[in-house]
Amino acid sequence: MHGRLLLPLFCAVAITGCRKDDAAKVEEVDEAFIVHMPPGAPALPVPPGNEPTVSRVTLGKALFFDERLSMGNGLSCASCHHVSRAFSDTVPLSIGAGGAHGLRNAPTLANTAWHPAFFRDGGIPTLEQQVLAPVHAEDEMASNIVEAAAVLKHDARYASLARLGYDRELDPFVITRAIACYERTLVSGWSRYDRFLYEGDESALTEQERHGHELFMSDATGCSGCHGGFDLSDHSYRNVGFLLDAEADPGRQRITLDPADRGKFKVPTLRNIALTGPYMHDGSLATLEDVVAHFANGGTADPLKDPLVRPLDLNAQDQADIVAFLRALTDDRSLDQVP
Amino acid sequence: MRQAAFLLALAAFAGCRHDPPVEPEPPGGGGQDTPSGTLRITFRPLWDGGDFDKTNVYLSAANERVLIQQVKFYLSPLVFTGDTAVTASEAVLLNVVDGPVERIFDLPPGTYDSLHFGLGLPYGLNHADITGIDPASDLGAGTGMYWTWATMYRFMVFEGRYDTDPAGTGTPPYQFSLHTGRDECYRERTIATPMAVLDGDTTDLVIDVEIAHFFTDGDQVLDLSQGPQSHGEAQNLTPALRLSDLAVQAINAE
Repeated sequence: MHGRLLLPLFCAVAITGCRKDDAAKVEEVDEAFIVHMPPGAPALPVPPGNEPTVSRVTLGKALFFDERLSMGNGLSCASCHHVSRAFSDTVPLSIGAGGAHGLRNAPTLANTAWHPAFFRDGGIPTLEQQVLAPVHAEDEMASNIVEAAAVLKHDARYASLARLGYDRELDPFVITRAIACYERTLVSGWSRYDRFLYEGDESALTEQERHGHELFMSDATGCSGCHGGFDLSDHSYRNVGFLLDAEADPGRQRITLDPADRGKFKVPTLRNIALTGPYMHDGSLATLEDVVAHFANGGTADPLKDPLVRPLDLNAQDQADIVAFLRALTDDRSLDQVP
Repeated sequence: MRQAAFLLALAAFAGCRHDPPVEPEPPGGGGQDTPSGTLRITFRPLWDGGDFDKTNVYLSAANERVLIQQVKFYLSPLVFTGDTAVTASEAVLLNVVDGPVERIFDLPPGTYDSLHFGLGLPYGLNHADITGIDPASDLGAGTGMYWTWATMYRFMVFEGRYDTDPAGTGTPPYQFSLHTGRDECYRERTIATPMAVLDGDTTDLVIDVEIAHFFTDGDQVLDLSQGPQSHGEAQNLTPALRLSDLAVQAINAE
């Protein structure tokens, strides 16, 4: 609500704040990009200096789909974050520009605006800084943002948008800001579940889905203890019982170096979960049924497993009902709000 | 509400694009010239006191044949202390594998007894937002010294090949790649650098980087066969910590 009010005001002041002698150039003034907010969504967090404007998100979207950001010009951000899959990938581990598999399953980009940190281990504090990582990673785009910018700045449309949005030529600063600005507009919250929860539409969920919802929210399962709130994630880091060998991805420990953080990964959003398989940090579980069974069984006997992950008293029908509820979290509309 | 007011104020300013250009200040800022001298530091790579040659295969203190192919590191900051303490540079990135490199600094005239430096980057720089830094600068994204996955810098890139057979011949068969970084690898040191910097004059200082001492200080030994790879991850941090301990002691004034 807050964000919806602020953005038109921002736009209006941006225009009316100009001196009269600027009137002839008003078409060069950027306009605020109005992010449509779903019911139940908290105010959209926006970092100072990178408020969404039409030129910024337009540029960011164009860059998101631009394969010139990668080595050999073969991959764009969208290559591993497919629009039709809620901006996630279809395979356990994406294949990078050099042919190598990535370290982890590519997550959905829905609602990243609310994430306090990025990557499954939380090693990156801002969405703007996150943009740099896949561009440089050898197992992803295997490129260099400085070299990419040197090419892209000669694109006349990009140059114009960069000047309008950021008052500078297209450079790494602009690339990181613009893509982050676009990603921040990928808001998810128009599912049948939202109609049921926030608009009181009892018919939005079937009886089976409502039972799955009740189980999901119950103390008996504790699912919502981590998968709660608007984003259906508390964005904490948890070890959910995947026994790791010595060479396995250490998860959050990679960042903190704390042995107690071994095997912890960020709790993912469940929005559009039916579209974002395969699941878990390594994409090792193919279906939602597999995921629910994993948690129902209490995971493996990893000594660092979170105590919240424990065997649950769920029969086959209960598990099926939870899966049905999870399928009701799919948005009725595209996440992409940019024309 | 305060956020709203801030955004409105920001928009009011940001919406205007044709402000009159700001007049540059006259040279010297309109005041008197500040006395200044020039300090030219030559960072000189050595192996056991002799000139380092990257094409030579050396025998390390761990009795391993080593071919050094990359020696790149940050010094941060560079603070000279004498009559007063002066920061000559917040951070410099040096690559000495091809031979000596020079850096020029302006310093106020005076006598200076010592240089305090850090090998690596202190916390504030290590955790700065690199996306806002000039990519062409020593701290920019163009240097290849940044771990994007951790949003921290590599402090030192030390790479090459090694052979556990000291009697071996030819190019050593195994690759090593030790990248130090993380705040845990930052090391500080003060070394004596007695010198005088004169107004309008150039003072030369030679800083030796004794690469043989990267492998030992007479106590600790860096054995590449025990850890040839380190890239900031917990399970491979030990050789990076040891290299950090050793390398900072290997940097001395001539």
